[in-house]
Amino acid sequence: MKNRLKVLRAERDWSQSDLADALDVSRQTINALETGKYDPSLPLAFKIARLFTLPIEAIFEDTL
Amino acid sequence: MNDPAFTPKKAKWSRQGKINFYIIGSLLLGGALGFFLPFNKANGPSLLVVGLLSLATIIAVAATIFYTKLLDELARHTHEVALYWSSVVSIAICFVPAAAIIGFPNFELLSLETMLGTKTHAFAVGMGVTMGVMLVTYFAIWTHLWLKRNRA
Repeated sequence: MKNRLKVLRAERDWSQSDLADALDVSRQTINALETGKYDPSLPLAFKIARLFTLPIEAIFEDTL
Repeated sequence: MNDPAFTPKKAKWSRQGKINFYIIGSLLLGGALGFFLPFNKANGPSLLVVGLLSLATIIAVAATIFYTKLLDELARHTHEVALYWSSVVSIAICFVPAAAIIGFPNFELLSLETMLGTKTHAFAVGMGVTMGVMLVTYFAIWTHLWLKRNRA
């Protein structure tokens, strides 16, 4: 699954640690999400969407 | 899409049915195996050893649950994968010698009990080796996953 997390984070000038703190996860989780090595759970995906005030499908894209 | 006439095909065995069959089947099979094993009571582990071991297992399970709750979801996922595979590996490696130690029919590992003197020592070493295999496999898989995810 592709996502725009890195771009959205860069637009706000946030570090991975800033985003990790805002989402209450580890920096490793943010790194794994951005590099596409881990797909978030549904609750975390909703949390990310709420934080960026965007719909989930504007952040995550199904690669099927 | 929401056609009311459409009814999904029902499988002969539901997923839950298969899980129930597996759990109940495993319990019955394990129980039957345990019931028919020729346990040798002479020099076997004392009630105190077995009691302490049971207590240690309960504490370890409680500590694992507490530890798992502290983790964020990626770390929890890594922990769960590592724990699952380390359990599979330790069961696969240690099940046969464990069965031999308790005297599985017509199959004996002569060395352990003979070398260590009593069944209690053989039991303790067997459990220690099992735990060792599990720990080593756990950390190996955990490290492998961590390195894989952190590769640029």
